[in-house]
Amino acid sequence: MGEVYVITSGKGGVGKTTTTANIGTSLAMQGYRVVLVDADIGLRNLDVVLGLENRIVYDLVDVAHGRCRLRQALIRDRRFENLYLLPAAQTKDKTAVNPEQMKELCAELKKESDYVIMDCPAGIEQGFRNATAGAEKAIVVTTPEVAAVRDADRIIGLLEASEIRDPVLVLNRIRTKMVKTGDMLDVEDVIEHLAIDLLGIVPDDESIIISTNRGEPAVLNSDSKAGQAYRNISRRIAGEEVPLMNLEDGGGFMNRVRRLLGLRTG
Amino acid sequence: MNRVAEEARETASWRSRKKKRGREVKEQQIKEEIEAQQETAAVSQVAEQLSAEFTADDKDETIPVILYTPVRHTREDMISQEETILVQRTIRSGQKVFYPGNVVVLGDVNPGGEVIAGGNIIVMGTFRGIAHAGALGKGDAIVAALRLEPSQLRIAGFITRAPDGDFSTPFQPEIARVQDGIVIIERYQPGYDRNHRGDNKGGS
Repeated sequence: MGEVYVITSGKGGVGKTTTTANIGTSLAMQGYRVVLVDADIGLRNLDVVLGLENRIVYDLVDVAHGRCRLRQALIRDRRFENLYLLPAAQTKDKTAVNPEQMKELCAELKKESDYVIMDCPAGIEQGFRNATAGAEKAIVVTTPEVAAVRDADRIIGLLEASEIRDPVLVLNRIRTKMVKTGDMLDVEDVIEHLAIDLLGIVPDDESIIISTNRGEPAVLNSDSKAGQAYRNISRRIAGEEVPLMNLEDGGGFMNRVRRLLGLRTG
Repeated sequence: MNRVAEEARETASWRSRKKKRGREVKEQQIKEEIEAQQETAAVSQVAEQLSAEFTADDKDETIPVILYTPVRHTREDMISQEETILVQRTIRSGQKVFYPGNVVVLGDVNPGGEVIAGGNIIVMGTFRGIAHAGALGKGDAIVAALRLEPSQLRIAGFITRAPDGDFSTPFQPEIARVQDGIVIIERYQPGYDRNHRGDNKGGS
């Protein structure tokens, strides 16, 4: 019996889909059976980020309406045979399913997997209600921007009002240089403001753009700092204690020595 | 939307401007409210407006409103400012606490959150949201917080807002109250109430 996570943020463009794809892939790398669910009906992206776009035959709406069996709609990943995707429909919209159907779906999915991870659409309307209906735990993604933090705060309030307890935070796209010069909120500021537990921090990394365009999650790239961050996050989800990574990039004599010796700098 | 409803909405635009986040209130409700308001006296007008606003909220499931009073308020309930409630949580964006008496919050009030009290507001944490103390007309109400940096601060009929741009508040308890027609914020000093509010000692 698995756990159902929803990855949500309120604001768009903070990295929900990227986070879903990377955490899911990384958990699968660790050997867990993982199902990723794209709940963003009408604006599906998760399939593209995973590079599985051209394999879609049936989708979430078909399953919810009983037009196909669940197994027919699940797409197995190209790289890991224990990673599956349940894609969203592109021709429908958020009202095509209701929270009860999503609850049933999640109950069905978690029977045969270790982790069900749901990619929530932006906003707080029906799409959000659908995605959170079947979830047991929530991961709130935000960036160190005032608007994103404000929306995350709103989302945390809404999650508290539903049955989901103790959401955790992923702080995405941190730019160390800007934090140093005081132009960007730092981790402490955001945590103090939102008052929830931190699951992980992810640096702003250009390799993410390359990997999402290619359909290869960044966790597969051992040189990517963001990939390393997501691997750490998924290990924490699995219950390991992993210290927060040091975001100081490149600089530092010791780091260079470590890199020369082939040790992890993160 | 039919024409009658549209007219009602137009008449009520002054009111909807006050609202946050474009809440949907049914046209019919607005119309009824306006009719009701015209008939009532100044103090109870505020009270009814507030109660109508909050019962309307109650139906909207997406906005969690923490309502500590029964839906149907009696006049006495609204005017009573002797009671105090304790809110042991952080008030987040989109959440709202309304109580006719005093409100004490053990936690923060984040931007976008609102605390409205008929009496005083005390926050054992950082206040970054909207505060309205003395919402039913009590002009000697106070707002106190361990760190007071509200986006907007209202006491009875007086409204102030945070200065534009960057500003920093000292990390110390502060208290806001009305003095000579303006809202002032000053450092909290124990026992200060006795000097300033002699006329209403027993109240709250």
